[in-house]
Amino acid sequence: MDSTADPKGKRPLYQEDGLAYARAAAAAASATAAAAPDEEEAKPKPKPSSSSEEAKPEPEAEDQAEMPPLVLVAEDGVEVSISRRAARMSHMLRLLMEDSCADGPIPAPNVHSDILDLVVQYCEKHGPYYDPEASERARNPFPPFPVELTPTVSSIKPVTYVDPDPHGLKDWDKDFISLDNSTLFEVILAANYLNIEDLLDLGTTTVADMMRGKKPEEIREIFEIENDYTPEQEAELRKENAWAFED
Amino acid sequence: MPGAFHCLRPSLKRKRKPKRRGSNHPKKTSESTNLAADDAAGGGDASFDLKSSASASTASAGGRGGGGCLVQPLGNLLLAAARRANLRDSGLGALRPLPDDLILDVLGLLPARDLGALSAASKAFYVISSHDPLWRAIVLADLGGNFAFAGSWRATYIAAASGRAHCPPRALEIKGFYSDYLFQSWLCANMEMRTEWLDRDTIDRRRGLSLEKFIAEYEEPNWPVLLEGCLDTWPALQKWTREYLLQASAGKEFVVGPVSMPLDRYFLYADNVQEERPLYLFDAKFAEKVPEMGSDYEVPVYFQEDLFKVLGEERPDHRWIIIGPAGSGSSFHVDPNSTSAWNAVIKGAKKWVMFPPEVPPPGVHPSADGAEVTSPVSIMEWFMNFYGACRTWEKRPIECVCRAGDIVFVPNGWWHLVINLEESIAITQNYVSRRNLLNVLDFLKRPNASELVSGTKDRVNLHDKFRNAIDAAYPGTISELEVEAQKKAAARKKKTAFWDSAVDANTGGFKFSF
Repeated sequence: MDSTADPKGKRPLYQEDGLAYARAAAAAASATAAAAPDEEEAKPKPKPSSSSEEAKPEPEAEDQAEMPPLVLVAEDGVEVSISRRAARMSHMLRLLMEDSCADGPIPAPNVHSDILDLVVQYCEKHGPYYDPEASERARNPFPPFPVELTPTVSSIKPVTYVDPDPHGLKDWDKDFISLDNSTLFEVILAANYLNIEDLLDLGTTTVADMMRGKKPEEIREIFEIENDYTPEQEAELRKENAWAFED
Repeated sequence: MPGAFHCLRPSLKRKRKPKRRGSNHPKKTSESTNLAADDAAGGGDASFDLKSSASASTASAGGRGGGGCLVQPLGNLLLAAARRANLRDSGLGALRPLPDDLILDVLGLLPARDLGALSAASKAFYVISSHDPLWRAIVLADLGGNFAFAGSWRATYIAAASGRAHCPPRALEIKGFYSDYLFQSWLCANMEMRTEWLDRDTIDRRRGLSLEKFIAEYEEPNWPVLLEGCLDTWPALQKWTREYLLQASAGKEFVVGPVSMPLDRYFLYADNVQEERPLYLFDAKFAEKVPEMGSDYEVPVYFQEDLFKVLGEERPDHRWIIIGPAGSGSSFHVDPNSTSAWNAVIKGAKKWVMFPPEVPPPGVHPSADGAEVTSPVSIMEWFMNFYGACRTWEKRPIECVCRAGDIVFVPNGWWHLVINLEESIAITQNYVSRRNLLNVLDFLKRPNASELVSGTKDRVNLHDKFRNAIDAAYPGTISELEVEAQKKAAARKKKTAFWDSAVDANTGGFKFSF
């Protein structure tokens, strides 16, 4: 990057005043965490200028590829590395990278290394095609100023929404996410913790698909749920839910 | 974790709430039991006052606040006298490790029929799948504005689906389900605003202010003010009873959230709803739809210079009628296009909390370009979890309760949150005067203006159009203003602390940090 850049690099995300304390903390942390953080800092791209080159494979991706991968530490102590390009998919890791706190080991408590491997695998696969701007854009569920409430802003994604799939990732995803229940849920939890929207979406959609169109008995079987209703209660429920089964 | 991770995770999905730092475990107050243990979460508040209509002991699908008794906060489980299991643990099976917000995300992808099937799988699923916001999304998606509100969204949907006017009341009483997340949601829906949130009134109140004084003391320095007595000439104050509004707007539909509906159907909803984020009627075309309503009010003298007028039909949306029940409102935001605004209450009362442009409210994290406000906590949640924080700040917000007959002036760039304390009807307009013309032009010029400029169909060219139109209608004005602004900037050598100095209207708008 530009060697004459401000040694702190560009700080696109936060207004200066309110969060100066965080920047100071970040600077302190990165100073102790790794040697020579400054040279590696110039990577983060300011948001306003990136929007002018939306949806193209950004040149920054190549810069990132040259930098050392991040090191995540699973709950069992095993270290799992993830390339910076892939790490962008995690909002949490992205913030750490932008604030230059990603140079040392990053703890991922409550995530087992096996699960972390899977998550990293997903991110490495999707990383090259990932555009942070595009995915974050349409997701504000409650626009605070209700001026433009056209359907595109609505939070409700129709079940029949069809994603264009230029890179053939759909099939890969389908294979990837065919996991047993407990692994699947662990992956979802990890994606939740690391804030990887796309993986979280994939996970929750998969679980929803497992429930879709099923009868209560089938749902119980799939998810190993104990039926804690008495027969009388079940009869009452059937009455209450008659509307659902009328068609 | 280094201090860099300081921003609440954005609430990206319909149901996801950001992790609340230091959230208190709210104590449940009910008529029958009151676990009076001190709140262990430090700094916790005592009891919460519930709205009188909240039924804590029985919940019926046909009544208000459906689902009231189904959930208790986790704290109650810990404090229970006898050892008890959480119904949630046994009832969710393999899904137990997932937190409630994720389970709700999953359920949010399912149609009504599958929610019905789920509710029969176990008691825990019964409780979760009756979470009313799930059903609101389904009603709005499936029925649009064409629903007859039946006390809860679930009841509303079922009534429509089964073609019956009233659905049978909730058959099962389920006890023993504990969940902070779901309880918090119920609490926010059923809680009253606490008196200490309402008693601070720090805004300037002025009556009979001259235009020159208003400009000099408030508009130019970009400072809020509450103006009394300006609505005395408005016919609306006397005329706008329900009967009149219903009759005048018969056959027309108003914009309510993502849908449209006629006023009678909206009142049916507003009179019976109890939820965390009530839908409210917010329509930019009310005067076009019902011209009589447009002539029942007039723009107060302070705000009559409105330069967007030069754009004629192509001007952005600029005036709205706002009708909503108690609890409805807008969480923190900054008005678009860098405009200033006024908000006049015709009926009811609104609580306002305002922060100056460079002081994002606690719990709110705008993106650099101002387009996204992350962590959009609901209004009630903001008061519960963040309001207390700013009471001890040096930089306290400006607050007030604005009642019928009063107007609040919202200077451009100011963060504001508004909540209706009772059913309210208001008119609000955004405008551009000479004082913030440069700001607005600046704003429209920004590279990502196409995302931020709102209210018009032709976003990208708005800047050029506006600028040209101003030059045509008021030649030389822009250059005059630019010269003045330069002089002022030169005169202001020392950068004073924001709160102590009045910020000029021309510099108070959006700021970028490059």
